[in-house]
Amino acid sequence: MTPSPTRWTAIFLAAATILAAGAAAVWWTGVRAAETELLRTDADAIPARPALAAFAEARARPVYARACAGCHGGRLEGDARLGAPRLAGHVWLYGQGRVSEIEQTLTHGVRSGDPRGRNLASMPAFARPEPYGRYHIPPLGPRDIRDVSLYILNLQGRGGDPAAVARGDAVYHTRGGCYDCHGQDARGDGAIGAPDLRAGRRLYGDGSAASLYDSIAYGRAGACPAWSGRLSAANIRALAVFLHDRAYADGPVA
Amino acid sequence: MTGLSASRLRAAIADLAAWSAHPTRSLAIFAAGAIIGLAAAGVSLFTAKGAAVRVVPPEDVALVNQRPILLSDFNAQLQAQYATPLDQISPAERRATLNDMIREELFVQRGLELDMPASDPDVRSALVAAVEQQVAANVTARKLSEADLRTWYEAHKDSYASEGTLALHDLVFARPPASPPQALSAARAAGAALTAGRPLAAVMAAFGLRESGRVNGEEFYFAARIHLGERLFGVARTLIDGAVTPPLQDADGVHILVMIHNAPPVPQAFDDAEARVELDAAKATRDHVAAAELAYLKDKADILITPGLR
Repeated sequence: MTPSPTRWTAIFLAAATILAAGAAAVWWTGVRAAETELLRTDADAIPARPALAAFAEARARPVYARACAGCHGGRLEGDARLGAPRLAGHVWLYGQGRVSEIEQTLTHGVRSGDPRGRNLASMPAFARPEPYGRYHIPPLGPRDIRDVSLYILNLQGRGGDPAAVARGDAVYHTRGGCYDCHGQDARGDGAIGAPDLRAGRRLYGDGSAASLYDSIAYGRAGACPAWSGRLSAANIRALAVFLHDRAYADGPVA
Repeated sequence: MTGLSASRLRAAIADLAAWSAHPTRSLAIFAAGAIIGLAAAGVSLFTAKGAAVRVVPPEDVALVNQRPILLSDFNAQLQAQYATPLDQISPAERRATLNDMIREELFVQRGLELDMPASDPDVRSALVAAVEQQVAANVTARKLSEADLRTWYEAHKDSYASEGTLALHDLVFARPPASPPQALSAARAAGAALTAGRPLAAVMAAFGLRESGRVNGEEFYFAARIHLGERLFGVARTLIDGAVTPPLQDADGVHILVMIHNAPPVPQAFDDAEARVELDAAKATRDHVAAAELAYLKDKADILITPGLR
């Protein structure tokens, strides 16, 4: 018995559907395999694998545009008004810039409310009666704050009245307690997000004595959301690789 | 789809429907579906592990009774424990860390089975804190628009100002005169001399005045208020540079204030205050959401209170 024309059409439709489903399954399996490889590979080893890093970057670009660009800018330039760090370049507020560290920050955030977020310290407001909410530290006077600002500018090679710089040095290393977070050498501490004060990279303001004064007098406590639960694990990993690669696009620090 | 007209498509669908509408065939399809469904249900019901997932998803490192141990948590634990790059941590060290995390997960699950939140105050506190933090985390993830921030700024403009500073001489008598009227009279004369432009040191020597020691150079307003007290600070904050007050009676005697420099608080423009505005607005939103969450929980809860405490 010869099948009728309508039967042939039905067979054609069924075959086309099966083929389309098969192609979709193959595509999906490929994506899942690449995702799995991205997640299963040691985070810090991914940049050394160009194909995997390229897959991560392609995946991360739209995620960055959707989730991060609002604060950090479309070109990773940051926003000094809000204290959103510049992500291009390779100066890290938290950690040393390893993919695993970036991933940790993305997953749990900074002062995000996530218990595993980066929330060990924030910049006290020394012009307030109680500069720090977590425990008591004494406030500073206006001249102390001006002197410490000048001391920091001096560390960045920007001169300053020697007497004021010397006074600022003394406040920094004694009753100001600045050394406690930023270090005796003012090189900062990536474990708690204390910036390197010698580097001259501006997180807030224009880098002037006045904007330093504002940071010391009124405190800083920038936040980054915890993306865990809002982005998939693969997207967070891809984003971490993307940010790492963008940061080192002009070569690693010697 | 060339040559595939709508009428032929309809005919093909009708043809398929007719094929499956065959009484014996449809019964067979129905029976096969039922048998497969019953078999799956039976496996789930009568085997200890049910129809559990047997493959660890790539974003996890282990499943403990189907509860995942996240890869990100595992990596964070490795970094916290060994403080070295991941590629320098040996497989044995990784297994040891994973065993610790599996142990923790098993104990957490056991704790839930034992209903520990009902009896252990530490667990209860931790749960309360975790829920509060979860509310905060949800708010932090929502970026406030600039319009929202400006609205907040306009509504709380007074909060966004620099802290005022002042530097002054707070003069008191080194040896108070015998009677209060004499003290007031001498203080008036000293004040008049200062206003007339006589040097401070000369006036202090002539009238036997000294610095009270309450203030120490330039101070923020909040510190000056504490050091001078409300009454003297209330006068001091209104003085212009170089102004001299009339004698001010305080608990420890007569004071004369000579203002060196007074810089009242300066309102901050939105652009200068934006970072603080964002923090404050986010905190207010968190508090609002937390209050709403509590109201919602109370609303849907069935709370019975003993008559004496209603």
